[in-house]
Amino acid sequence: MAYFLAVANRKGGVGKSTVSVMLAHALAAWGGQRVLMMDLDSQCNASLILMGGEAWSAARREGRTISDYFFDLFDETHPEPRDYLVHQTGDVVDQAGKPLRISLLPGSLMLEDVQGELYVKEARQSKDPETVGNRVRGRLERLLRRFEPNFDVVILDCPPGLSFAALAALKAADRVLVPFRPDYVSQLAVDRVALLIEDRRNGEHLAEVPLDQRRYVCLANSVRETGRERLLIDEIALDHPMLATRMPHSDAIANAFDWDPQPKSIDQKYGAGAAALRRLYDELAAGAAHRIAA
Amino acid sequence: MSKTTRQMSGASLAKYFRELLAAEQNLPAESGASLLRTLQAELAQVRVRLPLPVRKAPAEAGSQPLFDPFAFSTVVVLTKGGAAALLEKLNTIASPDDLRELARAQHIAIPAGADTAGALRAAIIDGTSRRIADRKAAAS
Repeated sequence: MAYFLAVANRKGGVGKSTVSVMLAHALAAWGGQRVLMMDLDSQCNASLILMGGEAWSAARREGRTISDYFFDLFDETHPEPRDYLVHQTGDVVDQAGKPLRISLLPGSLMLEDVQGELYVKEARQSKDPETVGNRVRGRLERLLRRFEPNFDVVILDCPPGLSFAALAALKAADRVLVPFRPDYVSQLAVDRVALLIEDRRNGEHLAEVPLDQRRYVCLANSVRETGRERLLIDEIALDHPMLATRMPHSDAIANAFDWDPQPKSIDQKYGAGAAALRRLYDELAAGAAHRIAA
Repeated sequence: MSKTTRQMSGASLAKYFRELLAAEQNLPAESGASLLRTLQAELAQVRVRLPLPVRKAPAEAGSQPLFDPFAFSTVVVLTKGGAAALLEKLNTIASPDDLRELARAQHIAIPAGADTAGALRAAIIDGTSRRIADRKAAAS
């Protein structure tokens, strides 16, 4: 049974894709896990980081992206979902120099359009918008789960905003990691995505769920450790579960995501940022020791 | 032969940083406090050139130790301990200027008429309550 980890925040620019990629590397390199990255963001940044523009473009031409997968398998008739995956992606190798076991379901610029088409398709069966929406989300959730037997961890790199695919990912996830930048607007975004994940109407209802029983946990990302940032993180931690690890604002991390096919170790890839990534990996693995620990 | 450099760490290094930053007249208090925290967190030891320049101690210069407007969060204290706990914390800050600085740094709105330390403390508690209510409203 794969462990489903969604990386989500309705706000853009908080580092969902970069955190997703870093975790894929960490889980595969340090945990020896078979990782599947599902790129649900139509910006496709995780795909571009892991496979580069040319290979991603080839996947689009060959009809092997997530929107192709959703569209082709919506009626659950296609025999082999694995045809859509790209294996051994990324430039990080293990200690023996072998590519990490990171597979990718590449992202697609067409994902929103395809979800619209699927909605229209489903609407032929029912006139009730809520019923149709739930059916589309439910089908996408089942499609996300079809790879479950073949991987140890499935990372769902969610898009900002709401979509059927994003909602399906949040439903499918065993755990949701919510990266945020420590600023005022991000604070509000964390409040909102928490309501969505826990399916609560407002903050008072959310407060009824103890912090240690929530499906999500927050990660302060790109932190400069100014006084203002420390206070905002403390304030968010009043209402939301928070990882002790804070990913620092770091040139080493920011520069690690240029596509570069040259094989390298995870320490070489993230340089001075590797220590922070190791802390993040250790903390997440400790929280799901029975599922993703090395 | 006399030494030309000296290695510093621990308390002596912290004192060196404090005096160094306190002597910078044009450095805003908030920036100085932030810089001091960063230096203390990231530098375990440094080697300085001798002789050290003679700097006026903060007391001699007529200035107070750097006030840190981020030493505690008014939102966190009010949420966890209530108004009494926040007032107790604010009572440790005597200077109206420092109270204003705290309010400005933590984005706590205070009315123009609040001039005394007591009025500023009451305004900060009130403003913090409004800030918490505003966030709750945004998430509803």
